[in-house]
Order: sequence, then structure tokens, then C-alpha cells
Amino acid sequence: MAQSLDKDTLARAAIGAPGPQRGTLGRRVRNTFTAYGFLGPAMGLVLFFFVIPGILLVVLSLTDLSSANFSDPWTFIGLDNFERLFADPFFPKILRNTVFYVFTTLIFFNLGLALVLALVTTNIPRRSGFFFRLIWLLPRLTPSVVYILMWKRIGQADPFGIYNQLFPEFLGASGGNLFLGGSPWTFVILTNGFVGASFGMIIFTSALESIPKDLITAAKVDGANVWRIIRDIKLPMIKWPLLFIATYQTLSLLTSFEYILLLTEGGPGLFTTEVWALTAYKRAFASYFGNSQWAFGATWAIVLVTVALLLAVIYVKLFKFNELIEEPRIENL
Amino acid sequence: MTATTTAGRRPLGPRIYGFLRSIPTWVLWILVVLWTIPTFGLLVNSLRTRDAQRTSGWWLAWQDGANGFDFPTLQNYEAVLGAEATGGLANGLLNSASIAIVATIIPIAIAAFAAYAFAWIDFRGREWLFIGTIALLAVPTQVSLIPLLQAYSSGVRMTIPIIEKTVTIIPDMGLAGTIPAVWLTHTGFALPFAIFLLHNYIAGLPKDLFESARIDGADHFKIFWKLVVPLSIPVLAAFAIFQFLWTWNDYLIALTMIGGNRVALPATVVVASLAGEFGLREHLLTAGAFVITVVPLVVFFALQRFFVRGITAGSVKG
Repeated sequence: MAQSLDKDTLARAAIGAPGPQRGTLGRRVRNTFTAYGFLGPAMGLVLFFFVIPGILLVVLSLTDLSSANFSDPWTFIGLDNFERLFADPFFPKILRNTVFYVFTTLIFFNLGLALVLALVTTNIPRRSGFFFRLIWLLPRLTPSVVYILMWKRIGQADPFGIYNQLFPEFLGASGGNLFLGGSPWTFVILTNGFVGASFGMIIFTSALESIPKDLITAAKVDGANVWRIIRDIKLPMIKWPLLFIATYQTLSLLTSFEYILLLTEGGPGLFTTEVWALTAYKRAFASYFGNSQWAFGATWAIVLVTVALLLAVIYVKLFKFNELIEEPRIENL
Repeated sequence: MTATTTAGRRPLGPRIYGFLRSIPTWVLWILVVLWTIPTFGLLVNSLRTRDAQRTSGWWLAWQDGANGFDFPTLQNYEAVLGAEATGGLANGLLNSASIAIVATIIPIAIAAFAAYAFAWIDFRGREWLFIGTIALLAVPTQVSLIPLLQAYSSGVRMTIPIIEKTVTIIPDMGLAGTIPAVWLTHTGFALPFAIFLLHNYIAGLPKDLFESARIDGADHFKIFWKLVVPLSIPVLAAFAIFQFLWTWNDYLIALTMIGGNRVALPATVVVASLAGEFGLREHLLTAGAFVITVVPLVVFFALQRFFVRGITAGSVKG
């Protein structure tokens, strides 16, 4: 190792910061060893939980594995599963359901309501705002099983559901079971939306609070009203969080199905509220008649994941996320 | 809110102005009340007898006494926490605690090391590995659920088509239906987010600290333990709370990985199963729901300052 390093270079090289000299070969080798030691367990688990299963999922979709045959070793049947998927009579309906569910929930709740909540709670006294956001987090903290139970109880048929009691004529309920009769979609979207909104609310709030106060004050002095301040200062200043939430929540809505599984199981009737992710799950694990078609479920999952990853790439390109990722890296090192 | 400030500039009396200004607050309070009604309904119903629950909605509970039912009564709570035959929730709660505590500690330990390496060690392939790890945030759990269950339950063997040879990809681990399967799964799924969150925070620690520690002769391991861990307590706590709530509340992973092995099921799955079985134990559902909700609520409200601060500290820049 070089003897003549001054303190500054030594320090920079030691912590791996880029400097005039990027550190000696020996140090870099040692750093690499240390780094892989630190990263080892995490990378091993990532390999086991994402990389290998990802490959296996593709392989699985080419086999005929199901609880009807327990084929061991896996037997390949080519692309039959994919043909079956696209020929499924309910394929168009499930696709329509998924698009409707994801974008309605995203626009009205995960983005829209979240933004309204963040704007309102940052404009009222600090303590009330904080308290209100805390309350709004409750559905997210409640076990999904309990949260859905509450909604089911609200929508129950007469004389048990309070909704029917208060608004007997609204939403086409007239006393029946709301989530299974009157308007299942309303309930599916509301249950998911109320939980989804809280994530955006937290992120937007902290972004809104970090906008310099002088900017707002200056705008007010210039005579801007609240609407102008929101449109011309606040929204542009929280552009990145907005785009991040749009992307992240599209993906999570696309692949989430736990609430729907608990609320309607995709019903009532045939595939009324069934979304893609739920189909994948039901095919693989919860088919009726005790028949788990793991390989066919994997086929649904692989198509879904492919679409999700494509969407992610489109979002990243569209919103130029690479600019966002590069920014902090320069700042940190 | 829009109305308040615009109205403020018009020549209106201060009382009207003050009233308009308080409207958003009032609207929010009304929402809070509406928000809590379903919870209150569950609480009331959990204190009613089975027959009372089957007779009328919870808002008529005040008539229970007149109708000859006990109200309030704790008999649902006693039943649901009792033996397997009546609810089996006590065992479920133990399983939940075991799952949530272990599945919180392991990912934190592993992710903190990885986050430090990504933030402060200069090594070959750092950027690519980091981007790859973060990209996994976009990969849904569906990818892993089906293959993982296969791996846990019977291993994976397949015949390579061309050479016609059967190879074992993953040996039979006998993990299906066990709690360790759930630990492992939660740990794996939590890692990308944990690394992302901890990295944002750890990378933002002041550089001078690391420089002086290096000059004093500390190696990476020592810096990690003596500097980074103590300084990162807020974000570690935030993630711990988040992960604990997530694993405690989880229904899907436990249901999939444990399935029919009743003795290992966590409380959430036990409660959900009360709804089935032809409604025999449905009157216990509300009591069970209350019991399993208490834990996350207490944890969150006791530690909420940590949570909100830690989650927002690192995650939003620019």
C-alpha cells in the first residue's frame, strides 16, 4: 500500500468515496471482500426468494403440475397452459375487471384522495392534521381479516347492516346484502381505496411539509389564492412523490387481491369482481373441488408479472425516474 | 380550504371568517367519527350473546336487556380464547407472536448489514447490485408464492427434456405447514424494502463521522456496530414497527404456507376461519377480531412518533 497518502485521501479511500485517487488495489480487493461478507446473507435470501422462484415459475408454467397428478418430476407440456389461459371464456372479463379495478382505485383513492388528504391536513393546525392522519392509518394497521369483517358487517342484509338501515334506497341495495348483491364493485374499490390512500397521504404530507415556507409566503404576497398556490407551487414541488406513488401503487394494485379474496372471493356469481391476481391465486391454491392447478396458476401469475414489469419499465421511461435515482447518489458520496 | 383564504380577503366579518376557517377541521372530525362507527359496532356486538347478535343490529343492543339477553357479557371472549373446539385463539396468538417477532428481527439484522455495504463500502458491482435489489420492489409476491410452496412441500425435481435426466433443483425441506416456512417467506419478501429504507437513512449519515472513525483505525465491522447501528435507531425502529405490524396482520402468506396444519396457524387465519363452518361460531368473530386488533393498535400508538418520522425521513427526497 502507498505510504505517502495524506490524511484526506486516506480517509476518502477508506470509506470508498471517489477522490483524486480511488484507493489502492489491495484496499479495493479487501473492500470487495468485506462488502460481500456484509451482503452475503441478504443476497442469498434474495436469490432464494426472488431469483430462483422467478425461474421456477417460468418452468412451472410449462408443466402440468396439479394436485390431480402430483407429477414428480415435473412433466413438460409446452405452451398448453398459455393456450388454455387465452382461450379461457372468462379471460376478457377478468382482464376488464383488472383494468377497471386498478385504475379506478388508483386515480380516485391512492392518488386523488391521498392528495386531498395531504393538502387538507397540512393546511389545518398541525396537531389536528397529525391526529387525523393517524386516524386515517387505522385501516392499514387493522388486520385485513378484521378490516374486511367490518365492511362485511356494514353491508350486511337487513336488519344487521347499518348501511341498509340508514340508506335503504341508495346503491341499489333495498335491504339486500350490499357487497354480495347491490354493488360489489363499490365495496371492493372502497375497501382497497381507503387503505391505499393512507400510503400516498403520508408520502405527500412529508413532501408538502418540506416545501420552503418562503415560497408560499412570497406567492401569497403576490396575491395568489389557495388554488393557484396548489396548482403552481405545491403540485410541481411534489412531482416526484406523485409519480413514485402512481408507479408503485399501480403495481401493488395490479398484484393485490387479499381484500377481494376476503370480501367477495371474486363473486358474486361468476367472476364478477375477480381480478387477475386473484385468478392466479385461486387456480394455484384454492380451486373448488380440491383441485389445485399449480402449473396453470403459475401461468396466470407469469403473464401478470410480465405485464407488471412492462408497466414498471414504461413508467420509469415515461417519468424519467433515472434522474431521480441519480440525484441522491451524487449527494451522498 | 379553498373557501377559507379567499373568503378571508373579502370584507367579511371576523366571525364568519373564523367559522369558514374551521370548516376543514370540522369536516375531518366528522370523518373521524364516521370512521370509528364500524369499529364501535364490532365492539358492541362482541359484548352481545349469540342469540342477541342474530336478532338485531348492534345499534339495538340497548334493547337486549329487555329482550332477555345478557348485555354486556364477556362470554364470547372467554369462548374464543378457550379450547380448540370453541375458538383456539389462544394458541393462534402464540403462533402470531412467534411469527411476528422472529420475522421482524431476522430481516432487520440482514438488511442493516446490506444497507451499510451499499451505502459506505466501495466495491465492484455495487451500483448494479443495488439497482437490482431495488428493482425487486416492483416484483410481486405472486412470483414466489407458488414455487416456494412447491419447494417447501416436496422439493423440485424435473427431467431435463433433451438429455432425459432427472435432476433435483431444490431438495425436500419438509417446511410446508410449519412456522419456519412463514419466517423464511416474510424475511425474503421484506428484504428489498428493508434495504431500500435503511439504505436511504444510512447513506445520509454525515460523512465526517466515517472519516474520523477510519482515521482512528476502525474497520467496517467496527464502524457498523459502534457508529451506524446506534445512529440508525430511528429508522431501525420504524422498520421494526412496520414489519411487526405487517407480519402480525398477515393472512395470505400464513394461510398459503401453513394451510391445513391447524396447530401452527396464526390468529388472523384462526379468526377468519370462525366465519366459515356453516356459521357455527360466527358469533365469536367480533370478539376474536377485537383481540387480534388490540396488539397492532397498541404497538402503533405507543411507537407512532418513531414510525412516521422514520418512514418519511429517508424515503422522500426532492
